[in-house]
Order: sequence, then C-alpha cells, then structure tokens
Amino acid sequence: MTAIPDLKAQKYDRQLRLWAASGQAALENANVCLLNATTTGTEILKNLILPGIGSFSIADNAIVNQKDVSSNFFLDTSCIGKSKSLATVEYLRELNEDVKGHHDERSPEYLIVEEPSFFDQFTMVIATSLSDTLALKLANICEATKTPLFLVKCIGFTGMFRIQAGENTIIETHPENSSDLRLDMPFPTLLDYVKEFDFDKMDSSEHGHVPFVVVLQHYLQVWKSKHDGKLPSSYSERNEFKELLKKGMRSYDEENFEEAISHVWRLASTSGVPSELQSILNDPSCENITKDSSNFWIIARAIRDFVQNEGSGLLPLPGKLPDMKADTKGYVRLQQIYRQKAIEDYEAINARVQGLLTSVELLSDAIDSREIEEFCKFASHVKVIRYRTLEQEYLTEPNTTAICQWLEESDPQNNIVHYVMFRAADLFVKEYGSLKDRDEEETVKLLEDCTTNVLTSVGIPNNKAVALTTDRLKPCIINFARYNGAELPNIASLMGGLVAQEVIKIITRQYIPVNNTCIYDGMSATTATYVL
Amino acid sequence: MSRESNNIAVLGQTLHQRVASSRVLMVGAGGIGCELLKNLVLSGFKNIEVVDLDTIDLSNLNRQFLFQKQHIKKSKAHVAKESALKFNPAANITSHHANIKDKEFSVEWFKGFDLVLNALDNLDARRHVNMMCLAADVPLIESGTTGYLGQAYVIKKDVTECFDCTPKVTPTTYPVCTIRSTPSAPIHCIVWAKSYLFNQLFGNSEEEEEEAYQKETSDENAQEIEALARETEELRKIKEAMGSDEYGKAVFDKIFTGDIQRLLSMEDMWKNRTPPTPLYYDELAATMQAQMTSDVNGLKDQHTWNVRECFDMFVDSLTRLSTRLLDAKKDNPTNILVFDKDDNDAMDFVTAASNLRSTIFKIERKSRFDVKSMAGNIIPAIATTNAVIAGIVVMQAYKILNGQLSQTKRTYLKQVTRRPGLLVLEANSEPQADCAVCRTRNIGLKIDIHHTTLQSLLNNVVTASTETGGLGMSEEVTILEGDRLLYDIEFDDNAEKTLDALALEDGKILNIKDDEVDDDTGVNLVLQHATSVTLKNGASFELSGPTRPAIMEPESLGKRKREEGDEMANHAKRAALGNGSVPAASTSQADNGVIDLDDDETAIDEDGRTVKVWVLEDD
Repeated sequence: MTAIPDLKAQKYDRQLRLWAASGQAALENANVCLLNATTTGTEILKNLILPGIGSFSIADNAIVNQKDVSSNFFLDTSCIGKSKSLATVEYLRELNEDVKGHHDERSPEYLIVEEPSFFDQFTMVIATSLSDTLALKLANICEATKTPLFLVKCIGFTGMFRIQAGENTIIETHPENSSDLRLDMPFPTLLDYVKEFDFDKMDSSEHGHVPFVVVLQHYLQVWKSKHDGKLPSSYSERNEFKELLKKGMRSYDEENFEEAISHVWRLASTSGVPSELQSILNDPSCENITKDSSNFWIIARAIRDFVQNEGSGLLPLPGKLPDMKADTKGYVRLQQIYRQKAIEDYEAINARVQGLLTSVELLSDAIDSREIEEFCKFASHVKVIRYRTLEQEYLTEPNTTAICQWLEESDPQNNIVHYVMFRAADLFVKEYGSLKDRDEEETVKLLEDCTTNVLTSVGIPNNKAVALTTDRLKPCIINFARYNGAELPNIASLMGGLVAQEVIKIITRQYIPVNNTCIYDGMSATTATYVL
Repeated sequence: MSRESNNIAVLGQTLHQRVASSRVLMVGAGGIGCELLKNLVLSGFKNIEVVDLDTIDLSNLNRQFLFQKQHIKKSKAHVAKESALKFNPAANITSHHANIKDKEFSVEWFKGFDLVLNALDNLDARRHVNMMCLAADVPLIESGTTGYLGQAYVIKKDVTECFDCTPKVTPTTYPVCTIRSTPSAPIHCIVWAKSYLFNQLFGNSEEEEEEAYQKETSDENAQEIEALARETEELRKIKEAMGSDEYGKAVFDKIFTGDIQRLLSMEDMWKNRTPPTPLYYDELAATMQAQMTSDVNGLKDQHTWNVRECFDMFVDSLTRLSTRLLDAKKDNPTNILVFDKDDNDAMDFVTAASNLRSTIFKIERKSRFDVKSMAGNIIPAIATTNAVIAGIVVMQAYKILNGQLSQTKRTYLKQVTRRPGLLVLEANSEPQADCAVCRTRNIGLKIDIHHTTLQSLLNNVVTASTETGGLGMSEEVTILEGDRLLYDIEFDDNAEKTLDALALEDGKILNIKDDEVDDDTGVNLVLQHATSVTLKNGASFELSGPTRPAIMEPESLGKRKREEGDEMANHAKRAALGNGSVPAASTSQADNGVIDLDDDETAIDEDGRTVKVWVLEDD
C-alpha cells in the first residue's frame, strides 16, 4: 500500500501548487504551433515543454547555419546544414518525454497563404519574427477559428509581444484576498450566533477568545442602537467606533479585540457588486443566453439573477474565513456558519444555472458543478478581456489618439517608441530588403523614412510624423540600425519567459493575462503594456 | 568571429570584451541557476565557476532544463557544467559539488571574481554569500522567484543596501504546548508529526526536539512540560520493539490513545477548549477495510483520506520507515532518518499521523498534497519566472561590467493586476546606517594562527592603540565567529588557546564589538595565516583595510554614484552623435521607468475594489 502520487504528479509538484490539477490538465491537452524556430521561439517552447504541454509543432523551412548555433542553446554544430525545424524539435523533445513534438519543413508563408487549414489543429499559435503582412493574414485565420495568437519580435535590446485571443473570460483570477466577511450586512444566521455571546458574563479567558468577527458584530449592534440604526460611515465615526472597541477590552493587549480594530477600515466599503463586475453582468452576452453561450456567461447570468432576487443586491458569499485568534470551538462554529450560508447561495445559483440550461434546451447538468462553485467563490474578481484584432490595430481602427499621446508624453522612456521601430523595421525589410545590406548611414536614412510612414499609417498627420521621426525617435532609429536585426540570446531568453508565462495563463484560463501588447526595453530594463 | 557577432553588434566591442574577460561566480545551480548558466554561456561570458551542494531530484525537472531523468541523484553543479559545455565548448566552467560555506571558499577566493551571482533557495546561504561579498568587496547580484513572482537586485558594499539591511521573515514557531498538548489548527498537528513524532521514532531522539517550536517554560506550563518529558521517555522505551509485529499497535496505543487520555484528565485545560477524543487501535482495525479511492483528477494525493485510510497508512508507513531505519542501522548504528518532503514514505507517515491527531482534536483533515505543502514549506516554482529573472540578472551584470553599477534598479516581476506592465523597478536604497552586517568594517588580518593565542590577539591587535598599529578598542569586547561566542568580559575560557586550536583558520571572520561604545557595529577581522618571516619587517601581524572608524557622510555616497561612468548610455549616445544629429535620449533612460512600490495610498479591499487607504486608515 502506498499513497505515492504518480511520477507525473511528483515531477510537476512545484507547479501544481500554482495552477492545480485543472490547470495542468488544460496544459496537457494543449497543442501549440510555433512559426519560425528563432532563438526566442525556441526559448518560449522550452518554457512550455518543461511544465508538460501536450504537444507542439514547429514550422520553419530554413536550414541551420553557424549563426543559429551560436545564439540558440538548443542547436549545436552538428546541426549545421540540417532542417532547422527538425533539428530544433529533436533537441526540444529531450526536455520532457511526456511531450510530443512535430516538425514541418514548409515555410510559414506557404502555410499561411496556401494552407490556412493547417492551423485548425492547434490550441494556440505563436509566431516569431513574422512579417507584418503575413501576421495580418495569420491573425485573420486565427480570429476566424478563435485560436489565440501570439506575435513575438526580438531585436537587439528590445522585445515585444502582441496577443490576439478573442474573448477571454477568466473565473480563477487568483486574487490576493477573496474573503468576504459581510461586516456591514451580516446575514441572519451570523447575527443569531452573535447574540449567543454575553460579553458581560464571560471570564477573561473566554472574553479573549471571542472571534473578532463576533466582537465587531456585537459592538456594531451596540453602535447602531445609539445611532438610529446606522453604521459608522465617516472616517471620524470609524475612529469613534474604534474607541468603543478599545473600551470593551479587558486588558490592553487582548489580541481578538486588536484584530477587530484592525478590520474596522473595511467598513468604509460596502458589500455589493463591484463596478467592474457590474459591467460584466450588464454585458449583452449576459443578457442574451443561447445554447451557444459559454459556461462563463450562463453562470454570470445566474449570478445576476441571484443578485436581483434572493441575493437582495449581494453576491454569493465566498464562505472563506481568515485565520483569527479564537478557540477551536468558536472558530469552527463560525466557519460552519459562513460555509453554510455559502452553500445556500451556491445552491440557489446552481438551480438558476440549471434553469437557464433547460431554457435553451441544454442538459441541466451540462456545466460542471465545480465551475459554478469556483465562480461563486471568486465572483467579485472574475474578468473578461476582449482582445482587439490585429486588423483593427493595423487597418480598420488604429488606436491613433492613444499612440499619439504615449509618444508625446513627457516621460522620455515610453516603450511605445519601440512599437513604432518594430513596425518601421518591418517596413524597411519589405521595401529595401535586409537591414544588414547597406552602410549604417544609408540604413538610418531609409529607416527614418519608414518610421514616418508607419506614423502616418496609424493616423498621425504628416508634419507631426516627420517631427517625431527627427526628434523623439531618432536615437531609437540609430540603435535599430546598429542592431542589424540581431537577436540577443539573453533578451530572447527573457522574452521567452515573459511570453510563455502569458501563454500558460491563457491555456489554463487562470490568472489575468496581458491585454494586448507588452514591450520590453533592455536599456532601462522596463516593460510596459498597451492596448493597441 | 561570427559566432559572437550578434553580441558584438548589440553590446559594442568594449562591453563585449569586458564580458569575455570577466570572472563570475554562480552560487546555486537550481531553477534560476540553469537558466543563468545558459544565458551566461550564450552571452559571451568565458570564465564561470559554479557551486552547488545539491543533487538532482525528480521534482526539479519541470524547470531545471539542464538536467534529465538519467541525472537524478547526481551533482547539480557537475551536470549543469557538462550540459552547458555541450552548447559552448569554448567556455571555461569550473564546478564545485560543495557547500558555499565550506572553508575553501574564503574571502580571498571571493576576491578573485569580478561578479558574484546568487541563484540560491535559502536564507542561510544568501546571508553567507552577502557577507563574503561585502568582505571581499565584490558586487553581488541577488535573485529569487516564487510562482509567477520574482526579483533581482545588486548588492555592493557602501553603495547599496545589503541583504541584511532589512530584516527577513523567519519561519513561524509555535509554543511547545500548542504542538504537544493543545493543537487547534492543521499546521499544529503537522508540526507535531514532522518535528516531534518523526524525529522521536526515526531520528535522533536523544537530541532535543527541533527548533520548530519554542520551549518556553513558565510557571503555568511547568507541570505540563514535565509531563511531556515523561511521555517522550515512554515513547523511547516503546521504540525498542521496533521491527516486531506488535510495534505498530504499541506506538498507536501510546500516542493516539494513552497520551490523549492523560491530556483529557487535565480538566482545567479543556474548560475553554474542545476536549480531544482518543482513537482506539482495535476499534479502527475492526471498521470496514477502506479502498484507497482515486480522486476524480487521478491525483490521489489531492483527496483527503478518511480515518480508516489514515489508520492503514499510518501502520503501513510506520512499518516501511522502521524497516528502512533498521536496515540503515545494520550498516552503522548511528544512522537515522531525516524528514524530507520528497521522501514518499516520510510524507505518507506525516500525512497519516497528523490527520489522525487532527481527528482526535476535531480539526479539519488535510490531503497529502496540502500536508506536503505545509510540512515542506514548498514554494511553487516554474520555468517561465526563472527565465525572466535570469535574463534580468544578466542585464544587471552588463551594467556592472560597464561601470554603471549605481544605476541598476531593483527589479520585480509582478502579476498583471492594478498596474500595467510586468516588470516593476525601484531605485536601490543606500546602506542602512545601523546595519550590523554591511556597516561593519572588514579588516584583513595576517597573523600566525599556530602561535597566536586569543589573549595575545586581544592584547596586540584589538586593544592596542591605533598609534601602535592596533584597533584601539576597550577591554570590554565581544568576539564572535558566526554565531559562536569566543570571548567576552565574562567568558575567557578560550583566552589561552591558539587560533588554530579554536578552528580559526584562513578565511574565517572574527566579529569584534566594543561593548563600551553604544551601538557599535564593530569590526570583522578576516583571518589569513602568515608567519612573521613572511610579514613586512618581521612584524607579528599585519592589518589591511579601514582600521579607523569612518564617519558616514550621506553626500559622499551620492557623490560616488554620480562619479561612476555611464558607458552603456554613452555608447548609444556616441552612436547617435556620430551621425551628427540630435543628442540621444538614452542618457536619461536609465533613470526612468521607476515606479515607487510604496503603494500605500491604495489597497484592494475584500471585494476587490481599490480603496484609498490613506483617507480611511491611520494605523
């Protein structure tokens, strides 16, 4: 007999503590595609293969040369002359025997232009060093199949990634604090319990072991009886209330009273629906439930109906208590009271979910009860991100005002400048070929023209675009010309970490991913995120 | 050479050369270490030494990619070196499978490096390397990760805060009575199973129980402490039956029945507490045999066992561990078992025993997965965070080698929550004026350790006036070596012993504080053995370093920072100016992007709303 977890659970022990079995299962079911086996691309895959992604494919038609070997850890001199996708897959596969790896020697361009159905099989597509023209085509393919797409670029000391992932709904956002004590709106069973305590008749040991939640509720009732049934609402009233608690202490260091005093500030906020959640509950997707609605929206709708009816304006109680100074008996009892209320709320919502499912002719148990439970637990922290498409960013709705504003900000270190540079470098390659083929002076001159063109293409007036190019962006243009399009291994590794982390968040549907662009600047070692 | 043309193009020839000729020490070859070694090798670092005392475990493989299954149980340092060399055979890597605290790694040895990179996982080693780097005056880059969060920053004597300038959180300890008599939370039962019971049964029971709980004796609990000592003694007797068929039942009867009945008899103890209910071996054995159920996710250690499952597992794991211990003792009677969170038998035992105890005290039972987390202080760890932090460490290393140390920033990898951006930067703080570690003057002392007694060291070096070449301290001094007290005014047992007899050899550091001076940060004497023949003018000792206390002037620190070169920015600037046009913005780049982490004005309330705390709160 043994309870030894299987080898897999042992190998993944340290990460299971981060995203749990559900996250691991999502990861193991994922199939990821990488276009172009660049150093950055290889580093991203390494960081996905180690934690046990299901499978991956690399599409690249290049042949390994000396330069690849020197910057890519996963290639050695014996690979020179071999297919890059094959050589890279062979090395990467060694990192984790549980992961399947495939290679495709066709060019990313061929696959995007001639065989878009190739991408249907993947959970996620990651493209590195892809030209903007191809990226736009690929983005449209992925948007149509609702496949999340990462576009990654890495030149010199700078790197950026752009996520296009349609509508992303996250229940498990892993908030730092998810307990809700309902201090301002105690529910009836809690109040009944508080009434069982007769503070005057306790001995000092009993008095010092009353859980602080009970202490607070007891004194709040005292306060209300003297203030027309109102809670302490202003800063000064809360201070007055603290004095009331201090007077109730039997000794100067009663820990449970100290805990109660330290929680008084929470009375400043009221239990109710936070505004970000309210806008989710008001969303048309929440209003119009159909049989195609996702689980998230069906549960959200049930929550909304609950709030408007039996919840009396309140969300379901998460039911979790923080640690506190109390004797076991009192603590366990209090825990039961909160938990019982949480179960009742959950059951009401579960019934509503079943009703909604039946009303759109789905099976009433079509949604896993654990998902409903999780939603109830983290209701005030759930998140919806609707990613803008690359087509919107480049063609139909460029974020001109914001880009202009970021560029003009007095902060000289706004990483948005690199966004312009990446696009200018792309335009350069499209118009004039490789950055390496000319002398530096000529490269700078042509890159300046490209920069101005990029600025006007996002909607910035020509005279302003020229001014920005010759002033604000000039140092970056010079740096980009100097970089020669070179990928620095250390930056590639750092970007590989940042990108893979976001990929994992999206695959596991846990934690909040970046929306939608992140730009790293190695000179200042800063990252910045933008909605582009 | 085309092999490094990318690095040269981006870094510039000067910095590239400095990187190539630098000597770096990497302490730790674990999660961050694997990433870091790869980055160093690819970034053009040529002379690297790696120290790690650990061997490779299965649970490392989800992130420590230089290791594979066939390497399990082998030295991390050696395997990391071999794996990295495969990719850049031109690098000169030296690996040490050793503890960084070993005496071979002396201050002199540390001085041989341009840069030290910490990739450690524990406070003790971090403290030690911090101290050694301060003593050797070598810049140190400190780093760490937990889950999705990480950080990296530079430590340099007199320029930045050191690792010990701010107090570190130490592990929680519990009062002995809470653990042994009145547990009220799962953690109390887990500490009992791991620190008390496991050690008593399989460890060195003669030794005092582990430091995980305090042994404070007061009038109130004196009686109970005495009773507990008797209990321990009784358990030792039962241990003699280890290996026999009755052993499991005997242990069970003692700890889950007899001891609990004794506790119950202390009526006062249960006046305000829920009294425990003893468990009975025969009763449990008679209940229906349980099937080890498998969890829905197929991860059986994530489901919470029922009492019968705990019972079976307790008896079974006790037998497994006893057999192992008896076998080990056949080789050497002093052999013992040490608790290890990755030892499956030990985890089975601690989970079962702690859950049985929880049942007795009406505390919630925990799954094996959760117990492991609590018993092992497990920190979640993944490849991605380590990759990001290792990348940042190399960027910091570039800056240091480029003479821009004072411009480095403390860098944190954060979650996307309220703040846009993943990396958050904070300016380095100056050394804390009263830091006992970095404000202590480090003075090199060359002396003949075979012929110098502690007393003569005191007379000739410590209390001798500065005019005569001594330190000019009073006679009321305290001398420590690490935590070991060597001498103070009331303890002179060691006075006539020679330094080598006190194991004070090359590289050892003597901390000397003058008790006559208020808040004296004291001096550190870094020992180096030398006979008088080798010393200048046949002197009996030689001091080097700041023998007089310096007065700290904040301005001088600031000045030092301003004087440092700014070559990386200049490189970009020259490039920009070379084109005969506008000055580069990059000169000011390094000072920007700083976000003050002191975000006291806002906090997340329980409903996830951001509230302005400063309006509401005064404490």
